[in-house]
Amino acid sequence: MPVASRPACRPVPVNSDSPGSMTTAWDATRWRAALAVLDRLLPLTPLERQAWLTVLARCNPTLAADVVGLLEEQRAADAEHFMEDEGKGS
Amino acid sequence: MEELNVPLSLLDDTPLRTRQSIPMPPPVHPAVPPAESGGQAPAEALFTALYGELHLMARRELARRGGQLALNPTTLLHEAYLDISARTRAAFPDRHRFMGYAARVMRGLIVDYARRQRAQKRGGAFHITALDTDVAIAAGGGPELEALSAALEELAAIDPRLAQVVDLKFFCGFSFGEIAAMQSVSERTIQRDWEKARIFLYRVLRKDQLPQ
Repeated sequence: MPVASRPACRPVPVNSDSPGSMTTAWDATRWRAALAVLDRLLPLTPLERQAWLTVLARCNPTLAADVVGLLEEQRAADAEHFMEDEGKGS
Repeated sequence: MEELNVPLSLLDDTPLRTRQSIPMPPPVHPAVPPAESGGQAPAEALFTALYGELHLMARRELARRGGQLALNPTTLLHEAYLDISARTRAAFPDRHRFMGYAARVMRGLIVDYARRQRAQKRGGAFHITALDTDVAIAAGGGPELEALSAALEELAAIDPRLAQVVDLKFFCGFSFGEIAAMQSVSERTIQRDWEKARIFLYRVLRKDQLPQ
């Protein structure tokens, strides 16, 4: 996957909750923005993801932080085998 | 519920699974709506046409509970039928949306059933329901199932397709390949959807466990 598919620097509306915060619920707009970025990042290698996020962080640091937080959640979910028996390897 | 239409050709879709071990359904309704219906297939016609796959879905959904719920798959399926057919105007644009909807209905019935079981075990009032007439009472279900189901509803409000993938994958045991074929997308797309949904659910369920 070429890193050329880097994010366009367009503002994405998010609420005023701190980036990556888990103390309050995200609204649907914030979730959709983060999930859209995840959709682009998940097929990439870690290095490609990092490059993508670096660019994104320059133009939308809140969204970038949200996505970084979700990728950390993914690692935690993997470590806990969250829903893993049904989702892996089939 | 949103009203949708379905082309008759969708009823001829190749079954994803063998039906060798699946009992034939009772003649509930004609499998295919009449041509004069304008090519629309109401939910009950789809239900009849896809009975074998739906029965397997019910069996898998219950099997996922690890035997904790001694709900009969046929009873679950027929309860789902009653729920779906009660929505007399419901029709679906394609097969996979109907299967996703049926999976969601079954999940809701299982959650309701588990909730009633817990209430009865706590000594609460005994509720007579259609489901209880044909099932053995057993332990199981648990608040985790309810929390997961509630989180799935949140996800459905944000991205219905992601929630549907979870219903079909996690609750009904369809493989990524089967879901991809059902939805006419690539398997990698479904795998990505699954992963996004899993991250969402992990975040939401974990957030609920944090002190407020």
